[in-house]
Amino acid sequence: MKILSKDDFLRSNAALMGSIILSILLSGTILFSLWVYQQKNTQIPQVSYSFTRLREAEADLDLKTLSLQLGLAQNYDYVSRAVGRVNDCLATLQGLVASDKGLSGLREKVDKYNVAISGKIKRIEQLKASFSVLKNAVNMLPSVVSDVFEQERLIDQQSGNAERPSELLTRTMTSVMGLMVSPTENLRSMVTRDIDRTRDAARTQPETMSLLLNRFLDQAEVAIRERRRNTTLMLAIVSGLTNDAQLGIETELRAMEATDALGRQRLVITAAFSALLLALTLSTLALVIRGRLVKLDQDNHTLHLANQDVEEQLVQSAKLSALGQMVAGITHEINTPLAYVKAIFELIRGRLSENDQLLESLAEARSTSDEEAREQREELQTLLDDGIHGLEEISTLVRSMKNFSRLDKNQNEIFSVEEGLESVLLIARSKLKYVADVERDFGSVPDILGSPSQLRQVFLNLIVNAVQAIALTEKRGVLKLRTRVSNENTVQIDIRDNGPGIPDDVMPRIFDPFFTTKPVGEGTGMGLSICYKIVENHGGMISVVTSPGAGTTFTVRLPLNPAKVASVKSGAKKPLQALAAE
Amino acid sequence: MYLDFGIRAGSQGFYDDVLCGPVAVGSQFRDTFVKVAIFRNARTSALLLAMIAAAPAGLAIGQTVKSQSIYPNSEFVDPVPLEISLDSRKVRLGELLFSDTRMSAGNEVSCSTCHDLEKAGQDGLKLSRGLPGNPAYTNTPTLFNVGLSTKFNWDGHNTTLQRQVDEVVQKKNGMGAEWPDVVALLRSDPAMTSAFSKLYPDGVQRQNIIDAIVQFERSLITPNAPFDRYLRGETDAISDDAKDGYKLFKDYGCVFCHQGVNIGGNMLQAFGIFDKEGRVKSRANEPGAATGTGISNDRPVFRVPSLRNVAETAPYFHNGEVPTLREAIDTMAEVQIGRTLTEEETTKIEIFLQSLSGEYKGRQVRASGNPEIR
Repeated sequence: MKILSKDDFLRSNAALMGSIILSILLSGTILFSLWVYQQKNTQIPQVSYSFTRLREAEADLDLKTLSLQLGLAQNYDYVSRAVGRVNDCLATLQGLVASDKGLSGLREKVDKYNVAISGKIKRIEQLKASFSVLKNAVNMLPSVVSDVFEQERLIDQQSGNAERPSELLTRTMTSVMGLMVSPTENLRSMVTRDIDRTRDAARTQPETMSLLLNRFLDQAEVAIRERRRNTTLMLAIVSGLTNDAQLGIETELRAMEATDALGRQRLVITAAFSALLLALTLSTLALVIRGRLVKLDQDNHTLHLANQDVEEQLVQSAKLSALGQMVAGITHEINTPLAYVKAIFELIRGRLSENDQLLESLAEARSTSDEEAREQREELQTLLDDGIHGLEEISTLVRSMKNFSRLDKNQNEIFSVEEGLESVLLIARSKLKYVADVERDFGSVPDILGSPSQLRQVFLNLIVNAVQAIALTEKRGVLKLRTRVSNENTVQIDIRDNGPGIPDDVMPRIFDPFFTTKPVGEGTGMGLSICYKIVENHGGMISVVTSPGAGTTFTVRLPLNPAKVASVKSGAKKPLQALAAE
Repeated sequence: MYLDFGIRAGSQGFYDDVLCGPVAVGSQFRDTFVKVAIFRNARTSALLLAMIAAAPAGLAIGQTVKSQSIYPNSEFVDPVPLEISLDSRKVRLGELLFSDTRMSAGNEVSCSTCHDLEKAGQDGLKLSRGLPGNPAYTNTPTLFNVGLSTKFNWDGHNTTLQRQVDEVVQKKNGMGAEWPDVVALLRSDPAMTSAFSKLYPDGVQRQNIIDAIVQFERSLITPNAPFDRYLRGETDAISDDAKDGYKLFKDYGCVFCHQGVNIGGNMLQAFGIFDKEGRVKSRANEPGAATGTGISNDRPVFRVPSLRNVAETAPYFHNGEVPTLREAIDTMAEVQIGRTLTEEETTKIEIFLQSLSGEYKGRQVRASGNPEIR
């Protein structure tokens, strides 16, 4: 696995996208947490509050009921209104619980509480009814007793051995009142016994007295019954009928509050953690962006440099191109008079050899001897030959200039780079053999397309330059030739010498036309610039690396075009095959 | 004295001030009682038991002891408030609906058909008229002061006016309507929809119709009854006979059930407690009686009706069997408190009851439908 360096990571697209996506996700998490927190804010405290209000209302109802019993309130409106408030609060609580799905756990418990409260209210209604009857009965007793005592004639009448009505009445009244104050079972049985005895006695009394006594007994029985009922109901009401249900709701609410608090805490932690991560991610993002900016800067710089190189090459090309155009014109202009002069020279020489008389007559005219004349003629001959030689030199220069400027488009021949190098070495052998040894490091590169003669000229030029450079060191050097396929569509040819190298001030100008370091007359200064032009025309490039004292390497890169090579090869064969077939 | 009893029952210390509290500071008493109700420990239970035991003692012996009450104006009877704060626009809308026959099945009756405000808020019939095929089985109670009651109708099973209105509109022998029909009918009336939309954000809705009617019903108070003026300190507002009647009313125990601002209307009671001869139809399953109250197994249980304007709301009782107030007074004394009244006593109580008739919008409430301007 490739281990990314910090810089690589910071500059990768994955880091940028990752940071952005992570930032969005984390922001989303924070917003979501806040949203949920907001949602959570409402219901449970409201329910809690509503429940507390209900309990207060219920406590108030208990109080009102008790104070009714204590005789503090003379009418039932206070209790009835307290019941109304309890019902209102209960309805509010039920509404709240029903409106929120999250509180469904409470519903059952609230329903239970509702049932318990309804039971309590029902008992309070019973208590009210019972209490009225009790109050009425107790209230009636004294007046009934006094009614009995108004029957002065009968009150102390004794029938048989039974007690007198007054005694029975007094005893029963006393025990009933006792029971009112302290409703014990003991007293109750005593009262029942007294009532029974009085009722028995009433049967034997005259009708008036019997009626009065029975009225008293009826009231007394109602009072006893309702007293008992009253106590039972009151005990039931204040004994915490709704306690279990209340406790159930309270427990559930507490649990919910705890869960809610825990949930909130988790949300806060999530939000805080997300915020922390977000901060980290954002810093990473900042670093990534910074890294990318730095890289952009570097790329920009590289491009700038490349641009400068291209500009230099462009200038070079422009120079060569301008020269080419100029040379094309000039060579034509020069060729015409040159041919003319040359023809005249040839004519003169021809005339001279054909007709000696001309020379003789010349000698006569000058009154010179034959010997002198012959010498003069030979001298003339030599001068003419020299002139013609000079003219031919000019022709060669003009032709080479023409070659340089002419865009030889015929580059569609198969050319083996290695064979080309070998043939050039053969040509240069005479100059080479006393100066340097040749080392070949051929990579068996495939054939390319090009102009063999031009490419050979390039190689010859570079090799001769190398040999001349080595010769300057005055010791035997090494010429290294190396061919490689540098990448899938380029052939690279290195020509390396271990001469003195190229001085820095010369280096920038080596490809300029007419630039030469050789003494005037020895080089035209066109060699490298022609090489440059040829290689460029072949779609390749030529470069040089030099280090003073260690040598110079010229590298020629030429394009490989296997498909084209193949088609040319087959195209060349086909006509032959066709001929053979015929 | 029952306070002393409480202390004797072993509640010294923390709760001592509770027991002295009610005499001195009402609110402190109240607060502590809330605590008592919430924190039930053994000691409080003991206190409560002591109080329960003590209560009848206070009741029996201290009947005439005037307690220093925590309820500032607690009398057996409180006067009807002189005015009541309501949204007058809703009251007005409710008044329109109250006499709107679109509230009933077949467009036949309105609330005001039975509760005729010109006939003391009822109809004067023995039994309410019901609807064709669905006869009613109880007498129409008056709607005056209905907002001051806490239980409604003869069986008292409704404890809110909203529920009562909701029910009567649908009741087969009430108005027999279906709410969706009522709502649709009212919605088709542009005047109604605009009136509703001004008062209720969601326009014509079942609960809004009910609310408007309830607001109107709450406005039906009859203050300034002579007896109320007497309660407010106008000592010569009622005659001496009426004052005697009130005394009898209290002494004979009528007031134990007919109490509160409406002199009834806030509790249930068995009917015919001392009725051995079957003087009233007091079967447990009497039509219109409350069920499942647990108050009595052998007697029908009814809401104790309000005695406000009672002189104007004949006939009487749940079945309208009794045509006159005198008969009603005698019957009640007989079957409810086990006492036979003398002619004089009945007359005085009747005079007292007549002093309970108040004024609606400044006009004397009259059964005749021919109210005199005061």
